[in-house]
Amino acid sequence: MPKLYGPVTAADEANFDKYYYFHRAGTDVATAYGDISECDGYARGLATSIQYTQAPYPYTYTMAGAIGGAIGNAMVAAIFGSAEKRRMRRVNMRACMGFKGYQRYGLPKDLWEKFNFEEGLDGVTEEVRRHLLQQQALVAARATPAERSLEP
Amino acid sequence: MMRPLLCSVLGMLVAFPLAAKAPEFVKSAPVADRPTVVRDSSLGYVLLRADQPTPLHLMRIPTAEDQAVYDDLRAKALEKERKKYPGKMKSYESLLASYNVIKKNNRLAKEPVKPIEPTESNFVFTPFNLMAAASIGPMNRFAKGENGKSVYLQSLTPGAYRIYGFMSVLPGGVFGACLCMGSVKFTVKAGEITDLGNVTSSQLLVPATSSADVDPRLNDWPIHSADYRAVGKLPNYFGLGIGRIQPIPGVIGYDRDQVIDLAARPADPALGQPSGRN
Repeated sequence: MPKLYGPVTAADEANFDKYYYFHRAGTDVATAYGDISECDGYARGLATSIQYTQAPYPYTYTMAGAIGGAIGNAMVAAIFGSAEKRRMRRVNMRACMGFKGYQRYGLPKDLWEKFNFEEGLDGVTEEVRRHLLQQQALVAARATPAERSLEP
Repeated sequence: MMRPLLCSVLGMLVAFPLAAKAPEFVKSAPVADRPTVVRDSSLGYVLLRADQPTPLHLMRIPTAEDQAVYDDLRAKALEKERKKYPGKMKSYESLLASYNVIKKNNRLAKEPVKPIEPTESNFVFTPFNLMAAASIGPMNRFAKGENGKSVYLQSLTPGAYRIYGFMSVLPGGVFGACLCMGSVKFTVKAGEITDLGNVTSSQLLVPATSSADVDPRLNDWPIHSADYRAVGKLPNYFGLGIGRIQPIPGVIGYDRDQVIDLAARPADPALGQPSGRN
């Protein structure tokens, strides 16, 4: 179980929109892992598990749809850069976990980094991602937050 | 940063040759704001009002015929990939042999990635939802009102559709957010207008009522309120911000992230009733 408690400074609190954990009372680890994995799928923009290279196929007059996601992401990256991609991941994770009824609690960055990851123009390997999501699921199910929850 | 990006986009253009003929599951076009409008009885139409210019992306729900066409496309694509596989393996083995020779003296050498044999179970084809879709707005308004109020009228292949998001898929890119975690579907009939209701400035979809104003140019057109029903989650195909349609009394509600089809439940006065002119 990752460490969740330690001294919190005003600077930490100012960054609680970036560094936090989710928790929902009465949830088991397997359910939490399923929920976090689903939300991770929405936050990485890949909700389907692609095991083989998706066959290209043009449709609806232009290629816009076929490569829409790629171009959409590429445009975001080109215009706003990695920081915007990281922010979008946080927004989607918070929306998805909020819909599922999870509360959000702030963490100092150094504790957060132990079991979370950011995803901008680069990310983490699938193996590392799975491990970290499992850690987050443990927290989501078993944490005993003493502090007040934040806005979703 | 722009150079690798440009290269990757150009790479994709090569990978998606324009020459191949695409199936046309959905025909759709905005109806222009002209003094008179002509109805094509073979097409259906959707009418959307909005408090401000709004994009709406629709995805078709496949008929049995659509599904058969799609399944055939997928099968042909899989067969094509399977035929390529021996060549890819041969190329891989050749690269691997070279890599094994040079890796001792070149630490930067990268081991080639072994190709995965495409099979029926691991082959992922372009989803039907991406092949059969249409975007409405925010431009090409049929009528304009004060303070941005907008009316859209758009022709559409008859059938059932889902609202995928307040977003647009355009040749230049994808904009907006998806309603991936809960939305509504409705039916479009040939020769008729399906009135989708009004989208408020806070993106609340308010179904049409019998008292809704109709543009005089459409007085002779058959108009029906959308027969909205709840539909569940879809993937975030475009990697956008995610959301879900706001609850609509008598149509859709939520229990945490579970979509509730309120139209399938016995009437509950606390939940409100569906409205419409049907």
